Amino acid sequence: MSDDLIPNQILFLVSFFGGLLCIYLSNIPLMGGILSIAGISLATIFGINALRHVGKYSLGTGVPSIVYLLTAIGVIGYLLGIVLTINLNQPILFPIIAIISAIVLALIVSYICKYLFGIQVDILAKSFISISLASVLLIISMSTLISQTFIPQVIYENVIQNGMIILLMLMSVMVIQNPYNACMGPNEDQYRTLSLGLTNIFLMLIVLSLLCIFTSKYWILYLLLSIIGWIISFRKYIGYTKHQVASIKRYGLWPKDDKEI
Amino acid sequence: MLLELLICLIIGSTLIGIGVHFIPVGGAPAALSTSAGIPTGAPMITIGMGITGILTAITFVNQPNYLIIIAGAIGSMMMISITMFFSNIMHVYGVGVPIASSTFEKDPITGFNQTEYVSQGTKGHGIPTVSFLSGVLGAGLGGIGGSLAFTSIYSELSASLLDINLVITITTIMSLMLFFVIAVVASYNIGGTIQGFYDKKFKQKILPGALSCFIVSVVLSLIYALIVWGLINV
Amino acid sequence: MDIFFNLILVGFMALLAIIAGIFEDLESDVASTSNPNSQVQLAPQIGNLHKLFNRAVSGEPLLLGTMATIAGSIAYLLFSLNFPVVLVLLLSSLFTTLIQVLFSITSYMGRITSQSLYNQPLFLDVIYKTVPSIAAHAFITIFSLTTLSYIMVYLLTPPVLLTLPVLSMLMGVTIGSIGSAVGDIHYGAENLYQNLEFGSGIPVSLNGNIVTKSALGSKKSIDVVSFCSKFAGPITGLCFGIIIFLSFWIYLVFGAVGGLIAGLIIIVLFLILNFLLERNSRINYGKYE
Repeated sequence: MSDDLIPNQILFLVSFFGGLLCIYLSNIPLMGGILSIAGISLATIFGINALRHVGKYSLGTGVPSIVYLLTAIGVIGYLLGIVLTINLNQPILFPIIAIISAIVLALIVSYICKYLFGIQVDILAKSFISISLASVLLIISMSTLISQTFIPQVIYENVIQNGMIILLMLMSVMVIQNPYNACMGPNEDQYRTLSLGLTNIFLMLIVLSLLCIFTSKYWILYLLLSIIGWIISFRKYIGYTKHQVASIKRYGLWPKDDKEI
Repeated sequence: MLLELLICLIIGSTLIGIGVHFIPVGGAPAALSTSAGIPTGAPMITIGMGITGILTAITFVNQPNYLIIIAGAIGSMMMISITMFFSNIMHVYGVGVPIASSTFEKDPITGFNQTEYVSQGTKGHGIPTVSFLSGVLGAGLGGIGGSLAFTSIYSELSASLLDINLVITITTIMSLMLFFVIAVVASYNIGGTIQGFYDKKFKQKILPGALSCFIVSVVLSLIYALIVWGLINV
Repeated sequence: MDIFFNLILVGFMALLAIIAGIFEDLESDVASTSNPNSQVQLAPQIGNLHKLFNRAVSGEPLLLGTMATIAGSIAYLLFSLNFPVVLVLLLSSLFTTLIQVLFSITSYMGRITSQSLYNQPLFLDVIYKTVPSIAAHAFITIFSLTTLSYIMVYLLTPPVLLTLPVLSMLMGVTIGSIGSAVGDIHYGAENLYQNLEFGSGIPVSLNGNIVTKSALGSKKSIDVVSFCSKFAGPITGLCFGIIIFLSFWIYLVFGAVGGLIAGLIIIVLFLILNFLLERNSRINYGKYE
């Protein structure tokens, strides 16, 4: 992993408060969906950057396993948040309860890893909390995009009852773990990894905006927005790749020694 | 009622965690015949076998509870035994290596010597009979755990929610999340490869593994009980 | 009559599962997905530059699970919009294949670029030549998986009481874990290391020392398909097909309790078969020399 060009703290602050704001403002008819898309991108970028820090340590099994452990924890927190706030009739508390329960679970797991299994990684607890926080924010923003509101009752009907929550979970696992996993190596670079993350999230947003057909009449707008976002971020990613790769060859064999390029 | 659910969930998820330790896992080296065991990560083979168990349990939802639990165990055991058998076929006929593991001297069931058959520089290849049996046992434990969680959540929810399709979907998702969390926690404990209960590594790993899975399952079960309580009152 | 129809359906499901298994394994071999990919990544580090496709989207179960869930969700959406069945299955699989291909391309570029320290070039002809093959295999896999889930949810009596996205996720993760547990050995331990003698495991000291040249020029990932389709693919397909077939067939024929007993007998049978396989391999191959 290379050093951070954008500090992790700034990413945390922006994505946490920005993401929460985007979730709470998702009730606005047209802008809500666009804000959800912004929330999704922010949460993903924060998750990827947190994974970049913990991914270089070997925890006994691959990088994706960290993410699907913490995303499963995120889903459990999300479910708890939804059903509790429906029962308490306090829709405003839904993201808060989901985040707190996911963080508590992630903290318990990281302490188990530290004290029972003897995994000596200093930033383990911090990274686990960050990734689970990012995954909760990501799943909530995805469901606010689909249901066009953050009211838990509506989300329950649109996302959980038809089993779409499993799609959201797998998508968030994919977008958080794929960029680091795909760019791992000695020449990993933060800008390139994050631009790949944006590419992936816009690819997934194309699917998600198709799923908005029933709930929003602006779905075609979201689709267009995702396609444009995908094109921009993909070009950006190609640009970083061209800049950082050893050499690009159209055909032929690899160079024989170091001098030949 | 909810107390019963809580106890069932704790027992079920602890059983899943213990079951993971029984499954002979070789990870990436096993795919190169460098190490014995199933050539994939512990969490994913556990989730795969848990899924087959849950799928079998779903087809049994109208039967009595104990049958659902047995069906889940049988489904998981069938999946893992077929997978391990074909994995061995791949090793024997595709790579051309006899099945042996260097983590123990002699197979206690078949009495075969192991180290003489292991290629130099490797830790064995394939899944010997004792590891095979261990894998089947582990899948049985995991399947019992998964279907126990499935039945307990299902019977709570189906008593009050009318739409059976919805109940089964939510129950499946919740039991899957259990597998996702517990399997990864247990595989962090294993830390790489393990060859089942006859491995020396098993003895030093099982106690912290069981304890940690118990702690995680207590917390998870508390949250699950809250979720189920909330879903009933929605 | 009902049971007869169900038996035909279960047979058809097993057939689809076999096809899905075969093509899933071949796709993972041509795109170099799962555990053997660690060797392809290691090769430049020890000085073995190569022209193999090198993709690390994620582990096979997660990749297949995600793709199958996306296909299932889109199919679910199109079914609610009253599209005809064949069109739904085709459209959802085509769309998902596109996503998988894009993931493959970006992952290939990412891993190669991160290895620029070792002077590993990014070959454009690898992308142009390998991606169509990946797309073809991925399409057949996803189409079979979606059709399999469709049959289980909508045609089987009694149906599996799940929504289409959830069931296709279950199928995807299962086939991924089977594919990585069975088929990949042939690619990792045999095809990548054809410079070693047949009949031995790969010592740790030789890790990364993979074959990078073939009879004509460089070794290409497309050639891997013709090698693996002779043994690894069919065996993976057979494994998944047998699992799907037996999981439904025994309960159809023997009823609930009888089916459970039959399942137990099958497990013991496989234990015995495995013992025979182990004994025969020892007798035929002998000790390591």
